[in-house]
Amino acid sequence: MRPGLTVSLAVAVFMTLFTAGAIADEHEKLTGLDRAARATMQGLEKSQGRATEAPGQENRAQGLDKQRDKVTGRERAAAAIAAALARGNGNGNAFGRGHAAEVLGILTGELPDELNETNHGQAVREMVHAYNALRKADGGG
Amino acid sequence: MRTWRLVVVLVLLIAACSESGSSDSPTSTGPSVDTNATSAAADETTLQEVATTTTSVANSSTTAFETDGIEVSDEILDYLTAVEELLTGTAYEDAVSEDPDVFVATGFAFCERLTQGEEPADVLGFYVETLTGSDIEAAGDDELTLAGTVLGTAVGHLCPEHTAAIEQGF
Repeated sequence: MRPGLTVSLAVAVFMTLFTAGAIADEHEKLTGLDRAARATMQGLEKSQGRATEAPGQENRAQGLDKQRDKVTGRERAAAAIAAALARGNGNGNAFGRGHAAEVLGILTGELPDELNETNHGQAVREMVHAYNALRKADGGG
Repeated sequence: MRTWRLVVVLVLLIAACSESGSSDSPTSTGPSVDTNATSAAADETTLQEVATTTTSVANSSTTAFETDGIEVSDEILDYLTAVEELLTGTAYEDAVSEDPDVFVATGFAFCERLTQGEEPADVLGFYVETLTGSDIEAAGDDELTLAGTVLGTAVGHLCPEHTAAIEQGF
Protein backbone atom coordinates (compact mmCIF):
# COMPACT_ATOMS: atom_id res chain seq x y z
CA MET A 1 0.00 0.00 0.00
CA ARG A 2 1.37 3.42 -0.91
CA PRO A 3 2.19 5.76 2.01
CA GLY A 4 0.04 8.53 0.55
CA LEU A 5 -3.00 6.28 0.46
CA THR A 6 -2.38 5.08 4.02
CA VAL A 7 -2.21 8.65 5.31
CA SER A 8 -5.42 9.57 3.46
CA LEU A 9 -7.20 6.57 4.92
CA ALA A 10 -6.00 7.38 8.42
CA VAL A 11 -7.18 10.98 8.09
CA ALA A 12 -10.59 9.84 6.83
CA VAL A 13 -11.02 7.41 9.72
CA PHE A 14 -9.95 10.07 12.22
CA MET A 15 -12.39 12.61 10.78
CA THR A 16 -15.26 10.11 10.89
CA LEU A 17 -14.59 9.22 14.50
CA PHE A 18 -14.16 12.86 15.44
CA THR A 19 -17.46 13.85 13.83
CA ALA A 20 -19.33 10.94 15.43
CA GLY A 21 -17.87 11.86 18.82
CA ALA A 22 -18.87 15.48 18.38
CA ILE A 23 -22.44 14.51 17.51
CA ALA A 24 -22.65 12.19 20.52
CA ASP A 25 -21.23 14.94 22.76
CA GLU A 26 -23.77 17.41 21.47
CA HIS A 27 -26.59 14.95 22.15
CA GLU A 28 -25.26 14.40 25.67
CA LYS A 29 -25.14 18.13 26.35
CA LEU A 30 -28.78 18.64 25.36
CA THR A 31 -31.08 18.47 28.33
CA GLY A 32 -34.31 16.51 28.23
CA LEU A 33 -36.22 19.74 27.83
CA ASP A 34 -33.93 20.77 24.95
CA ARG A 35 -34.66 17.56 23.13
CA ALA A 36 -38.41 17.82 23.73
CA ALA A 37 -38.29 21.45 22.61
CA ARG A 38 -36.48 20.43 19.46
CA ALA A 39 -39.24 17.92 18.70
CA THR A 40 -41.80 20.65 19.39
CA MET A 41 -40.17 22.97 16.90
CA GLN A 42 -40.01 20.20 14.31
CA GLY A 43 -43.72 19.58 14.79
CA LEU A 44 -44.51 23.26 14.51
CA GLU A 45 -42.32 23.72 11.44
CA LYS A 46 -43.91 20.75 9.76
CA SER A 47 -47.34 22.22 10.40
CA GLN A 48 -46.27 25.61 9.14
CA GLY A 49 -44.73 24.04 6.05
CA ARG A 50 -48.12 22.61 5.26
CA ALA A 51 -49.86 25.87 5.95
CA THR A 52 -47.56 27.99 3.79
CA GLU A 53 -47.31 25.54 0.93
CA ALA A 54 -47.58 27.57 -2.23
CA PRO A 55 -47.63 25.66 -5.49
CA GLY A 56 -45.24 27.56 -7.75
CA GLN A 57 -44.94 26.79 -11.43
CA GLU A 58 -41.47 25.25 -11.08
CA ASN A 59 -42.62 23.08 -8.17
CA ARG A 60 -45.82 22.06 -9.80
CA ALA A 61 -45.02 18.36 -10.10
CA GLN A 62 -43.62 18.18 -6.57
CA GLY A 63 -46.60 20.15 -5.27
CA LEU A 64 -48.99 17.71 -6.84
CA ASP A 65 -47.14 14.81 -5.25
CA LYS A 66 -47.37 16.48 -1.87
CA GLN A 67 -51.06 17.11 -2.42
CA ARG A 68 -51.55 13.44 -3.16
CA ASP A 69 -49.63 12.42 -0.03
CA LYS A 70 -51.71 14.80 2.03
CA VAL A 71 -54.92 13.29 0.75
CA THR A 72 -53.58 9.83 1.49
CA GLY A 73 -52.58 10.96 4.96
CA ARG A 74 -56.01 12.41 5.57
CA GLU A 75 -57.64 9.25 4.34
CA ARG A 76 -55.51 7.19 6.69
CA ALA A 77 -56.32 9.49 9.59
CA ALA A 78 -60.02 9.40 8.76
CA ALA A 79 -59.93 5.62 8.54
CA ALA A 80 -58.22 5.47 11.94
CA ILE A 81 -60.95 7.64 13.45
CA ALA A 82 -63.66 5.53 11.85
CA ALA A 83 -61.96 2.42 13.23
CA ALA A 84 -61.79 3.94 16.71
CA LEU A 85 -65.51 4.63 16.52
CA ALA A 86 -66.30 1.19 15.16
CA ARG A 87 -64.23 -0.39 17.92
CA GLY A 88 -66.14 1.69 20.42
CA ASN A 89 -69.36 0.54 18.86
CA GLY A 90 -68.37 -3.04 19.62
CA ASN A 91 -71.47 -5.14 20.03
CA GLY A 92 -73.58 -2.21 21.01
CA ASN A 93 -73.07 -2.48 24.76
CA ALA A 94 -72.98 0.50 27.09
CA PHE A 95 -69.17 0.52 27.23
CA GLY A 96 -68.95 0.62 23.45
CA ARG A 97 -71.48 3.40 23.21
CA GLY A 98 -69.61 5.32 25.88
CA HIS A 99 -66.39 5.09 23.91
CA ALA A 100 -68.03 6.11 20.64
CA ALA A 101 -69.56 9.10 22.40
CA GLU A 102 -66.17 9.94 23.90
CA VAL A 103 -64.48 9.90 20.48
CA LEU A 104 -67.19 12.13 19.04
CA GLY A 105 -66.85 14.47 22.00
CA ILE A 106 -63.08 14.75 21.49
CA LEU A 107 -63.54 15.48 17.81
CA THR A 108 -65.93 18.28 18.60
CA GLY A 109 -63.46 19.75 21.08
CA GLU A 110 -65.38 18.62 24.15
CA LEU A 111 -62.60 17.16 26.22
CA PRO A 112 -63.56 14.46 28.68
CA ASP A 113 -62.21 14.95 32.19
CA GLU A 114 -60.81 11.44 32.05
CA LEU A 115 -60.12 8.88 29.38
CA ASN A 116 -60.62 5.21 30.10
CA GLU A 117 -57.22 3.47 30.19
CA THR A 118 -58.56 0.00 29.56
CA ASN A 119 -59.95 1.03 26.23
CA HIS A 120 -56.54 1.56 24.64
CA GLY A 121 -53.43 -0.27 23.54
CA GLN A 122 -50.49 -0.83 25.85
CA ALA A 123 -48.24 1.80 24.26
CA VAL A 124 -50.90 4.44 24.72
CA ARG A 125 -51.99 3.68 28.28
CA GLU A 126 -49.30 5.88 29.76
CA MET A 127 -50.45 8.61 27.40
CA VAL A 128 -53.98 8.22 28.72
CA HIS A 129 -52.64 8.34 32.26
CA ALA A 130 -50.69 11.53 31.45
CA TYR A 131 -53.75 13.05 29.77
CA ASN A 132 -55.85 12.36 32.85
CA ALA A 133 -53.19 14.03 34.99
CA LEU A 134 -53.15 17.05 32.66
CA ARG A 135 -56.90 17.41 33.01
CA LYS A 136 -56.82 17.02 36.77
CA ALA A 137 -54.09 19.61 37.12
CA ASP A 138 -56.27 21.73 34.88
CA GLY A 139 -59.12 21.48 37.33
CA GLY A 140 -61.02 19.26 34.92
CA GLY A 141 -61.47 21.98 32.30
CA MET B 1 -122.00 11.51 -15.83
CA ARG B 2 -119.00 13.76 -16.60
CA THR B 3 -119.62 15.92 -13.53
CA TRP B 4 -119.78 12.85 -11.33
CA ARG B 5 -116.36 11.69 -12.60
CA LEU B 6 -114.88 15.12 -12.01
CA VAL B 7 -116.09 15.08 -8.40
CA VAL B 8 -114.49 11.67 -7.82
CA VAL B 9 -111.15 12.86 -9.25
CA LEU B 10 -111.24 15.98 -7.08
CA VAL B 11 -111.98 13.98 -3.93
CA LEU B 12 -109.07 11.63 -4.70
CA LEU B 13 -106.72 14.57 -5.30
CA ILE B 14 -107.66 16.23 -2.00
CA ALA B 15 -107.16 12.94 -0.15
CA ALA B 16 -103.69 12.49 -1.70
CA CYS B 17 -102.63 16.03 -0.77
CA SER B 18 -103.64 15.68 2.87
CA GLU B 19 -101.78 12.34 3.08
CA SER B 20 -98.46 13.76 1.86
CA GLY B 21 -98.81 16.82 4.08
CA SER B 22 -99.00 14.78 7.24
CA SER B 23 -96.06 12.48 6.44
CA ASP B 24 -93.29 15.03 5.84
CA SER B 25 -93.37 16.89 9.12
CA PRO B 26 -90.49 15.46 11.26
CA THR B 27 -87.95 14.45 8.61
CA SER B 28 -84.68 16.29 8.90
CA THR B 29 -82.58 16.60 5.80
CA GLY B 30 -79.07 17.83 5.19
CA PRO B 31 -75.98 17.73 7.36
CA SER B 32 -77.36 19.39 10.46
CA VAL B 33 -74.82 20.23 13.13
CA ASP B 34 -75.66 18.26 16.23
CA THR B 35 -73.92 19.78 19.20
CA ASN B 36 -75.73 17.40 21.53
CA ALA B 37 -74.22 14.32 19.90
CA THR B 38 -72.17 13.44 22.94
CA SER B 39 -74.79 13.85 25.60
CA ALA B 40 -77.41 12.19 23.46
CA ALA B 41 -75.15 9.21 22.95
CA ALA B 42 -74.41 8.99 26.63
CA ASP B 43 -78.15 8.77 27.21
CA GLU B 44 -78.65 5.33 25.81
CA THR B 45 -78.51 6.43 22.20
CA THR B 46 -77.88 3.44 19.99
CA LEU B 47 -74.55 3.05 18.27
CA GLN B 48 -76.11 3.38 14.90
CA GLU B 49 -77.47 6.77 15.85
CA VAL B 50 -74.12 7.91 17.15
CA ALA B 51 -72.26 6.80 14.06
CA THR B 52 -74.70 8.34 11.64
CA THR B 53 -74.90 11.63 13.46
CA THR B 54 -73.28 14.28 11.34
CA THR B 55 -70.85 16.13 13.51
CA SER B 56 -69.02 19.27 12.64
CA VAL B 57 -65.71 19.49 14.40
CA ALA B 58 -64.55 22.43 16.45
CA ASN B 59 -62.19 24.80 14.65
CA SER B 60 -63.25 23.43 11.32
CA SER B 61 -62.62 26.23 8.90
CA THR B 62 -61.94 24.29 5.75
CA THR B 63 -63.67 21.60 3.80
CA ALA B 64 -64.35 18.64 6.00
CA PHE B 65 -63.48 15.09 5.19
CA GLU B 66 -66.46 12.89 5.78
CA THR B 67 -66.22 9.33 6.97
CA ASP B 68 -69.18 7.22 7.95
CA GLY B 69 -71.37 10.27 8.36
CA ILE B 70 -68.90 12.06 10.62
CA GLU B 71 -67.29 15.21 9.38
CA VAL B 72 -63.77 15.61 10.64
CA SER B 73 -61.97 18.87 10.01
CA ASP B 74 -58.86 19.09 7.86
CA GLU B 75 -57.02 20.52 10.86
CA ILE B 76 -57.53 17.36 12.87
CA LEU B 77 -56.72 15.06 9.97
CA ASP B 78 -53.55 17.01 9.12
CA TYR B 79 -52.57 17.05 12.79
CA LEU B 80 -52.84 13.26 12.99
CA THR B 81 -51.00 12.82 9.70
CA ALA B 82 -48.12 15.02 10.85
CA VAL B 83 -47.87 13.35 14.25
CA GLU B 84 -47.84 9.90 12.70
CA GLU B 85 -45.11 10.90 10.27
CA LEU B 86 -42.93 12.50 12.94
CA LEU B 87 -43.25 9.51 15.26
CA THR B 88 -42.06 7.05 12.63
CA GLY B 89 -39.27 4.95 14.08
CA THR B 90 -40.31 5.51 17.69
CA ALA B 91 -42.22 3.21 20.04
CA TYR B 92 -45.33 5.24 19.21
CA GLU B 93 -45.14 4.64 15.47
CA ASP B 94 -48.40 2.72 15.18
CA ALA B 95 -50.14 4.35 18.12
CA VAL B 96 -51.66 7.17 16.07
CA SER B 97 -53.58 4.83 13.81
CA GLU B 98 -54.57 2.61 16.74
CA ASP B 99 -55.70 5.30 19.17
CA PRO B 100 -56.18 8.55 17.23
CA ASP B 101 -58.66 9.86 19.79
CA VAL B 102 -56.01 9.93 22.54
CA PHE B 103 -53.68 11.97 20.34
CA VAL B 104 -56.44 14.45 19.45
CA ALA B 105 -57.50 14.72 23.10
CA THR B 106 -53.91 15.28 24.25
CA GLY B 107 -53.35 17.90 21.56
CA PHE B 108 -56.45 19.82 22.62
CA ALA B 109 -55.46 19.48 26.27
CA PHE B 110 -52.05 21.03 25.49
CA CYS B 111 -53.79 23.88 23.69
CA GLU B 112 -56.02 24.44 26.69
CA ARG B 113 -53.06 24.66 29.06
CA LEU B 114 -51.40 27.23 26.81
CA THR B 115 -54.64 29.19 26.62
CA GLN B 116 -54.63 29.31 30.41
CA GLY B 117 -51.24 31.02 30.21
CA GLU B 118 -48.95 28.15 31.06
CA GLU B 119 -45.46 28.19 29.56
CA PRO B 120 -44.73 25.57 26.86
CA ALA B 121 -41.72 24.32 28.83
CA ASP B 122 -43.89 23.76 31.91
CA VAL B 123 -46.55 21.94 29.89
CA LEU B 124 -43.89 19.69 28.37
CA GLY B 125 -42.20 19.08 31.70
CA PHE B 126 -45.40 18.16 33.49
CA TYR B 127 -46.55 15.90 30.67
CA VAL B 128 -43.26 14.02 30.28
CA GLU B 129 -42.88 13.54 34.01
CA THR B 130 -46.39 12.11 34.28
CA LEU B 131 -45.90 10.00 31.18
CA THR B 132 -42.64 8.44 32.34
CA GLY B 133 -43.05 8.67 36.08
CA SER B 134 -39.67 10.32 36.42
CA ASP B 135 -37.83 13.58 35.81
CA ILE B 136 -37.76 14.94 32.26
CA GLU B 137 -33.96 14.63 32.25
CA ALA B 138 -34.28 10.88 32.74
CA ALA B 139 -36.86 10.48 29.98
CA GLY B 140 -36.10 8.43 26.90
CA ASP B 141 -35.83 9.87 23.40
CA ASP B 142 -39.14 8.33 22.30
CA GLU B 143 -41.10 9.93 25.12
CA LEU B 144 -39.44 13.32 24.59
CA THR B 145 -40.14 13.08 20.87
CA LEU B 146 -43.75 12.11 21.55
CA ALA B 147 -44.36 15.01 23.92
CA GLY B 148 -42.64 17.58 21.71
CA THR B 149 -44.27 16.34 18.53
CA VAL B 150 -47.77 16.40 19.98
CA LEU B 151 -47.25 19.89 21.41
CA GLY B 152 -45.70 21.37 18.26
CA THR B 153 -48.17 19.88 15.80
CA ALA B 154 -51.12 20.64 18.08
CA VAL B 155 -50.14 24.30 18.12
CA GLY B 156 -49.50 24.25 14.36
CA HIS B 157 -52.84 22.70 13.48
CA LEU B 158 -55.27 22.94 16.40
CA CYS B 159 -54.38 26.23 18.12
CA PRO B 160 -52.09 28.32 15.90
CA GLU B 161 -52.79 31.37 18.07
CA HIS B 162 -50.10 29.97 20.40
CA THR B 163 -47.38 29.83 17.75
CA ALA B 164 -45.53 32.82 19.18
CA ALA B 165 -45.55 31.28 22.64
CA ILE B 166 -43.84 28.19 21.26
CA GLU B 167 -41.31 30.12 19.17
CA GLN B 168 -40.33 32.30 22.09
CA GLY B 169 -40.97 29.85 24.88
CA PHE B 170 -37.81 27.77 24.90
